[in-house]
Amino acid sequence: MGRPDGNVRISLQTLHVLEAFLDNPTDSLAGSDVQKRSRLASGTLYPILLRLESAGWFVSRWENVDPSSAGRPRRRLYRLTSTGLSRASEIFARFARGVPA
Amino acid sequence: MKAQQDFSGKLVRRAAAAAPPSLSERLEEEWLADLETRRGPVSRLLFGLGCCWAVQSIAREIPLGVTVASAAGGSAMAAACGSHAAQRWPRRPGAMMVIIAFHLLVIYAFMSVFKQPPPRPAPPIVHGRILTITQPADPATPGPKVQFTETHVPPLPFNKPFSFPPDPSPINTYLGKPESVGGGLVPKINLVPGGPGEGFPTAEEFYPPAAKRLGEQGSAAVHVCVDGAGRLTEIPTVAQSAGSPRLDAGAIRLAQAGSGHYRPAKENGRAVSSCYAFRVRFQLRE
Repeated sequence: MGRPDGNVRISLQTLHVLEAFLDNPTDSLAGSDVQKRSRLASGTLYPILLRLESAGWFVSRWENVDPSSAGRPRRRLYRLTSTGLSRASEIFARFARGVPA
Repeated sequence: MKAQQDFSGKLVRRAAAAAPPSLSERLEEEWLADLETRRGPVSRLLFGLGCCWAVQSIAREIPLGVTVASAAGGSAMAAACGSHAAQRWPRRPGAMMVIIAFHLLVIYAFMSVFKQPPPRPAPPIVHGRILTITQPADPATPGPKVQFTETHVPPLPFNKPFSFPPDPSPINTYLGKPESVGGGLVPKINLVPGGPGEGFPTAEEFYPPAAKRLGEQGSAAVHVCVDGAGRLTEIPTVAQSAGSPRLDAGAIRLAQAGSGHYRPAKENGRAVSSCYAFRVRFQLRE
């Protein structure tokens, strides 16, 4: 998984996940939202989310909703941290310059 | 909350339970909530299977000293995770799948062998009727009497098609000793039935290629009428099917091609026209 020092192995699938967040970096997205945007399977997506969270690129929290009144379980919402945003921006900028990450 | 009741929900809960204990509760709630957004049974099933796959990756990476937020209150509480799931899930799921597939294949092979029906016993073939005409001893007795006798001959034991002995002994003889019917004597008739003779084509030459490809085997009984020279006098017909229209057609073609190579039936040593049936066995070589 990710390393606490912030170094994360960047795969193509990881880039898809980061790209889903970079559309609007302040948004909090549930796993199902990220899945729709990145088109990744759940078996690939959730390990990446946990990896990026453990590396400090994401923070997560429970949705502020009462499951009994909503009739469904609470969703887990992920949001980019400032670290994650800067690292992701840096990676995509490197790609834009044509330098492999 | 249908996600918690159907099969996909059970899959998700099972996958979450296999996760490291510190993450199990969180993942269950998170995945069930995301499963709620899925519509359609296939989509939900794929999601559940994906969670089963995801928990393997998570279980492999968690023991590396990674910290993630656990379920407790949704805070950022860090929890050191153990290798709980890594012990419950194989590290090489691909190898496990191959082993399971191999076992299923072996079971299927055994079932296929034991489900094969036993070969049907062939019914006896009726070779025809012997017409016996008796001459009255007393010319004053009106008209000749006609007597019909049916003889049944068991099927010829063909392991290889048409391996006939060169000179078979008579197998069909009029039953009983001469007796007096209306004052006359019934003459004794020795009948040697005909069959495929010298130069008759083999079943292998007429094995339909389509039947070979499909692995079809069996024996068909073909009814033929042959004159004294061993030539067909009528179009052959199938007396008993081989169980496949392709094999039946092959047997008919073989019977037609063999015209002129039939051994005629002999009545008291004299070649006569006759009708009889013989078997054509189509058997694939090993």
